[in-house]
Amino acid sequence: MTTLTDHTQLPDATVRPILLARQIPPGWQQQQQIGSPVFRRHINVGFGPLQRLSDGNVATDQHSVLLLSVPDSATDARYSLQQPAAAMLTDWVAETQLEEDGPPQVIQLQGVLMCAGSTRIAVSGSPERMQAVTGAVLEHFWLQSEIRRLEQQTADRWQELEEDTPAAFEFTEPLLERRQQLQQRFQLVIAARATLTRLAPLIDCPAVWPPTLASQASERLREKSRLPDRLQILREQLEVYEQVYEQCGQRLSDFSSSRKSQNLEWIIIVLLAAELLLLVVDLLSSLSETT
Amino acid sequence: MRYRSIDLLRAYAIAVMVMVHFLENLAGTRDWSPDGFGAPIFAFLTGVSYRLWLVSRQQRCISDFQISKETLRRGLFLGGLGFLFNAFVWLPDDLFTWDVLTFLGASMWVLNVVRKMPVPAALLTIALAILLSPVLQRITEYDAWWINGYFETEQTLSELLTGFLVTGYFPVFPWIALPLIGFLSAPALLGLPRAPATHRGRWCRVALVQVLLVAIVLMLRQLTSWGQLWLPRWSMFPASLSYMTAAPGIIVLLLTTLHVLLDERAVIKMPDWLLSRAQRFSRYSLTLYLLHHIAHLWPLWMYGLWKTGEPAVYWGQALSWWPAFLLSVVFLLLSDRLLQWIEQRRIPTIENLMRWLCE
Repeated sequence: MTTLTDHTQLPDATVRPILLARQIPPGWQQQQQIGSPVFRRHINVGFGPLQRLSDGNVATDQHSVLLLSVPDSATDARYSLQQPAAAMLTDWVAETQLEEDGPPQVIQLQGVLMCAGSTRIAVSGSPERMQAVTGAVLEHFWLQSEIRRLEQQTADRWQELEEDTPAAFEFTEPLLERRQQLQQRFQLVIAARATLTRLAPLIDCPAVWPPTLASQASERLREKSRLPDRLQILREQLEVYEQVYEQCGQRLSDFSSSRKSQNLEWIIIVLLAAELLLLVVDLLSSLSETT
Repeated sequence: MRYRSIDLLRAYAIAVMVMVHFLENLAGTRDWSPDGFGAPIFAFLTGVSYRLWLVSRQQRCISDFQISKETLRRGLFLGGLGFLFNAFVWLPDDLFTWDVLTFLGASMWVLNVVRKMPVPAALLTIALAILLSPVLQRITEYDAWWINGYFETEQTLSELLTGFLVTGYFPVFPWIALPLIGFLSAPALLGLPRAPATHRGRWCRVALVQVLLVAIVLMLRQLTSWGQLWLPRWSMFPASLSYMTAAPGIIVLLLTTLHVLLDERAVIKMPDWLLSRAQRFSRYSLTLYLLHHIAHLWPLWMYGLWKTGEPAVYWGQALSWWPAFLLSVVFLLLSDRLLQWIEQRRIPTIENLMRWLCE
C-alpha cells in the first residue's frame, strides 16, 4: 500500500491503485470479498502497487482506478459535504476527469462521503464504514465504466449502421465484398448485447431488504448516475442495431443460396447450349455436304 | 483513366497486324513477320475494354437495360462495319469470310450475355469454347474449307453459319474465349474495384501453367513420334488447342507485367514520343485497322483492274518481302502524322461514329 499524502495534501489519506479485470495479473493482490456476489461473479478486484497505473497497457475488458481513502473518525466529520475539506477530495477526483464523462458524482450517506469519477474514487468516513462502502463504490465504478464504453461504442457506430441499412432490405453483388465486415459488426452488436444483459441484474436489481450501508450506497450511486435509464436507452439502441444486422445476415444468406442455385442453372444452360451447338454444327455440316 | 499498359499492348497489336497484312497481301508471305499475336491481343483487349466501359457505365448509374442496348448496338455496328469492310475493301466475293470485325461484333453480343453470368458459368463457357473447338473442326472437316491456305465458302445458309461458328478466319469457336478471358480477368489484372488483389496472382499462376504446359506439349511433339500423332499442333488457322491455351496465358502475363511496371509502380518511364504514339494508335485502332487495308488493297485492286481487268490478279505477288515490309513501316509513320492531324482538328473518326450511334 502506498501513501500519496504528499501529492494530495491530505494528512491521513492513502491512495491505492485498483484493477478490475476478469483475470488479475501477477503482482496484483486479489481481493475475494469485495462488492456484491453478482459483481464478484463477473469481475475480480486487484490491489496493486502504484507504478502499475503508469504501465498504460490496460486491456479493454479491464478498468483501473485510483482509490483515495481518507479516514475521518472526528465527530464533526471534517470531510462531510458541509465542510470545506470535502472540496479537496472532489478536486482530487475531478483532476483527471474527462470532460465527456461529466462531473464526478458525490454522495454522502451515514457519515461517509463518496466521490466517484471516471479514473479516481475518493471515500471518506470512519474506517469500518469506509470498508463497507468501498465494494459498492468499486462496483458502481465498474458498471459506470462498462455502460460508458457501450454508449461510446454505440454512438460511434451510427454512421456504420446508416451505411449498412440498405443491405438489410436488399443484398446485391457488390455487397458480397463486405460480408466479413458485416459479420464482424453483427458479432460486435451481439457482444454488446451480451455485456448489457450481464450488467442488467446489477443495475435493475430490486432494493435489498433489510438495507445495508453498502446496498444504500449502491442504490444512491446508480440513481445519481441514471444507470437504469441509460441501460434502457442502450437496450433500445442495440435492438435497432441487432434488427438491422440480423436482417443483413438473413439477406446475405438468401443471396448466397440463390446465387448457388443460379450458378447451377447457368452451368446447365451453358452445357445445354454446348450440346445444342454440337447438334447444330453436325446438322450444318451434313447440309453442306448434301449441297 | 487511360492505362499505358493497354495502350502499349494495343498499339503493338495493331502495328503487328499492319505488318502482317502488308507482307501477306503484297508479298504473299508471312516469313519473318510477328505473325500470330496481333489478333489474339486485339480480341483479348476487346474484352478488357468492354469491362472498363462497363465499370464506367455502372459508376454513372446507367441502367442495365440501357447498357444492354448500347452493347447490342456496338455489336451491330461492328458486325455491319465488318460486312461493309469485306465488301468494299476486300471484294464482294469475300463478303462472308468472317474476319476480325464481324467476330468482334458477335463477341459484343456474347459479352452482353456473359456479363450477367456468374463467374463459374462464364469460366465453363470459356473452357467449352476452347475444348469443343477441335471437335467442331473435326465435325465440319475444317481443312476442306481452306484452299491454298485461304478460307473459301459458298453463299448458302448452312455454309455461312458453319463459317461463322467454326471454319471462317475468326469464327466464334474458339476465338470467343479470348474476349471472355479478357473480360473476366480485367478486374483482377488491372486492380479494378470488386477484385481482391490476390486474384491477380491466381490468374497469373494459371496463365504460367498454361504457357509451360503448351511449351512441354510442343517440345514433346517435336521430339517424339507419338507426340506428332497425339498432341495438338501450334496453328492459328485453325486456332488449335495449343494456340488457344498458350495465347491467353501469354497475354495475361504480358498485360500484368506491363500494368505493374508502367501503371502501378511506374518503374519504367516510357519515353514521351513512344507513349504519345502508343496512345494515339490505341485510341484510333479501329480507324487504323480500316485505313491500312484501304491503303494497300485498293491500289492493288486498281492496278490489277487497270493492267489485266482482274482486280485480284496481283494479290500476294505484287512485291517482294523487303518492299512490302518497308511500305508497312512507311504506312505506320504516315498514319501517325495523319492521326495527329485528325486529333488536332478533331475530325470525327470511326470510333466517334460508333460512340455517337451506340451511346
